[in-house]
Amino acid sequence: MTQQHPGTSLGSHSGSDDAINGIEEHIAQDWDILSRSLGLFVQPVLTEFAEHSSHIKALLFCTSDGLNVCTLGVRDNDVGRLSALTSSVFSVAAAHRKVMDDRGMDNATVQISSGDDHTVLVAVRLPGLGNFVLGAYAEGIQLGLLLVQLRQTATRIHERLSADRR
Amino acid sequence: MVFCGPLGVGKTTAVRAVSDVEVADTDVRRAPPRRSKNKDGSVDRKRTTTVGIDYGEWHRDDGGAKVAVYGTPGQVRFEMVRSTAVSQKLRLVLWLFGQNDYAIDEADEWLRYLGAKDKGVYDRITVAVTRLDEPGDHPALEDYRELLDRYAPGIPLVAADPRDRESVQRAIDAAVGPRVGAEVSS
Ligand SMILES: Nc1nc2c(ncn2[C@@H]2O[C@H](COP(=O)(O)OP(=O)(O)OP(=O)(O)O)[C@@H](O)[C@H]2O)c(=O)[nH]1
Ligand SMILES: [Mg+2]
Repeated sequence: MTQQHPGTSLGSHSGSDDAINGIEEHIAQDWDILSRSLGLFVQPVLTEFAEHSSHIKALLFCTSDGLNVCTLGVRDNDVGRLSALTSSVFSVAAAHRKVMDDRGMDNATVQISSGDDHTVLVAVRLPGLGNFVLGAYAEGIQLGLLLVQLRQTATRIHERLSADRR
Repeated sequence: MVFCGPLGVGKTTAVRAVSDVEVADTDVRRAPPRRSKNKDGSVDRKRTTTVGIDYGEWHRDDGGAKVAVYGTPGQVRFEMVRSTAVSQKLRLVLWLFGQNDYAIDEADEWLRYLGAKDKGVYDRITVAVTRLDEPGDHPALEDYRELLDRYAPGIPLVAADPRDRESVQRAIDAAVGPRVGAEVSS
């Protein structure tokens, strides 16, 4: 992780958290096991999406509280903070929406666009596992198309995990 | 007013307790599984965590100003969100766990961290220690004074309960008041 923390990790009393992307040590041990197995399931879905669309520059799948599960096209050093920021952006957008309309963020998306470059975040709820955010960064594509493709990818992640549980 | 401090100390709780408007919070459910232990060895039962920023307002009854209160995330990985809030030159309340034997060391870590980029933080900060009523071998409120004085003279120090509106109001009052003297209040 590129962030620097003076002294030891905050709120975690022993050891360094540098190896685990800024996650408190006591959480990291647990999280490591789950994220590895979940990552193995989700990674092929991300790879397939990227192979079918040359516009995709990066993909990210993280928990709604900002822990990385898997990524594609993201520099190692950026994975931790990108996951954390993804959850921050999504949560702040959800709070913003709640002021206007209290219907929650199910099926809602968050977009950041500049010309033909888009970052799109969608919520993915995996029953029994929790809430996640799937994010894509793409260039030279229409926003609507990217949104459709990203939603399809979210559905595929959902189906793949459900199939495994049957 | 910006609330900082470790995961689960009660920053969001304090924003909710003191706010007179509906709180815009950015708490989400934490990732499973929840078998983890806290660093004091207790089971980690916290179900939600702040990942963005909380916003509330305290409307003083005395006709005084409205105080906007921001709660920041406690977890290390949200450094960028936290530092954005901390760098706004606003008054800060650092909420700390008081019930652990390592409480002073933790206070030291947080103080050092918050002022790492800007020593001016020490002129804007107030320290609010929670859970001092819990049993066990932990420092008393006065024991923090020596540490605080090493950072800056007269950093306000209060014992406070984030669940209690009046207690949070006292912490805010200590933080907005003029910075004179170094007496301990509670
Ligand atoms: N016993 C005790 N419990 C407290 C006290 N203050 C807060 N709590 C509880 O501790 C928990 C604090 O949770 P939050 O307010 O979400 O903590 P936070 O600091 O916002 O945590 P993050 O956003 O995850 O960094 C709540 O369940 C409170 O009820 C206290 O003084 N004593
Ligand atoms: Mg919080």
